[in-house]
Amino acid sequence: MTALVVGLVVAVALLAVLVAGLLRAHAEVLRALHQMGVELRPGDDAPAGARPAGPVNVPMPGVRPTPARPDATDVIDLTGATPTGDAVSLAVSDVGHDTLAAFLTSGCATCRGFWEAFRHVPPEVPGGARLVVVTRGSEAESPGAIANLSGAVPVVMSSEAWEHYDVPYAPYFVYISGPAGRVVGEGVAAGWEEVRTLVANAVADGTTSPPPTAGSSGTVRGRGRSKADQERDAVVDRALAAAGIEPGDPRLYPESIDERSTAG
Amino acid sequence: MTSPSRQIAAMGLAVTPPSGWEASIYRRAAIDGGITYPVMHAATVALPAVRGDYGGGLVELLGPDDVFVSMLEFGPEAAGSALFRTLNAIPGLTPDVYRPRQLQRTIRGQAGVQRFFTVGGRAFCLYSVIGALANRIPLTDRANQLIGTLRVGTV
Repeated sequence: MTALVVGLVVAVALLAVLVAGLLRAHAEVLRALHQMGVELRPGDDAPAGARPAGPVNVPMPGVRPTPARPDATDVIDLTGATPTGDAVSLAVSDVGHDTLAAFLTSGCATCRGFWEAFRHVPPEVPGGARLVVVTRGSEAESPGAIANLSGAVPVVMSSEAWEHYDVPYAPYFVYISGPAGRVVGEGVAAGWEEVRTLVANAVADGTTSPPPTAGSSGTVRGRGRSKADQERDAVVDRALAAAGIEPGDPRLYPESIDERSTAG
Repeated sequence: MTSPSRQIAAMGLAVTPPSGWEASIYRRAAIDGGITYPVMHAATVALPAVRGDYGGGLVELLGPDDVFVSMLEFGPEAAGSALFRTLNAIPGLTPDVYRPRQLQRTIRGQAGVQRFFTVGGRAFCLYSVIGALANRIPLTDRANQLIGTLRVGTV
């Protein structure tokens, strides 16, 4: 009898500890949500009659950047290997063209439709963006399998790109504006026609041509020019103008250095 | 924002393309038992899928502010020849070395240069084209930014 009582006491004590732990964990979850700005019962402090009914509203602070890429301008060139073992680096920023990166795998069923669409002829991308297929590197994909799937679209095998662009699943598409050096759109689609339509709409809306980011020169051709270089250009331009030489003057474009010397 | 530069390496060659540059290191498939050697291409325009070792199919795309650089390896027998023995390091370029007549394919306004050298017993030709001879001073600077990142190791 005594043993039974002792056993019951121990069991009740253990259950009490378990319940206390659960309540504590619950409280920590509520506290964490509160710190994130989420109120599961926003009307708790209000009079009972003033509490809203229906679903709980969770505030979304603007467009959600992907967790590993909180800044849309945090872009990297597509650097890796081709399925045939060549090393390659394709520029996506500080260039005049846009890039549509298609993150595909050799195994996913939906990706097969894209591989097939890209096999024979490079598909036209609205707005003239360059289409590039990005797969994981050779540690995760078979180069031979990718070589068999690839065709008319350049392929870069780069796990680094997958991680940097925080690709959640395949197929996944990221549209990068080259002049602005930023991601201007991304998402998933079931087929190429769907991607093409989404990009066409974005081009028509002008969202693929964002204004240059702060600090940029505003033109690709102005990239990398120091203030001293720009000042020197201005001095040269003024001197040429004073000598009657305007932009486009044929004397600025000699066929050879010898010609320039004799002309001068 | 410009993306940080990342080195690519293959076949004993390495290059770190500066922002706005594209690069590729490749070797063509051998035909009829022949031997092919690595080639490095870098340009400030998008590298077309089909292009010649000396930039055919690419140089036509160069604008007046663009640059193309190619480094082509030759066979080990070339390393001992007089042509390749003259220089024993990857050469930098100066604006005056670019000439329209050095182009593999003459395109009005463009200029090119070729330099032969040997590094680590491997013989190379450095070939560069600029989009406009008139802009040779800043374009030579751009070419040297790329050339300065070239590395030659062992295969």
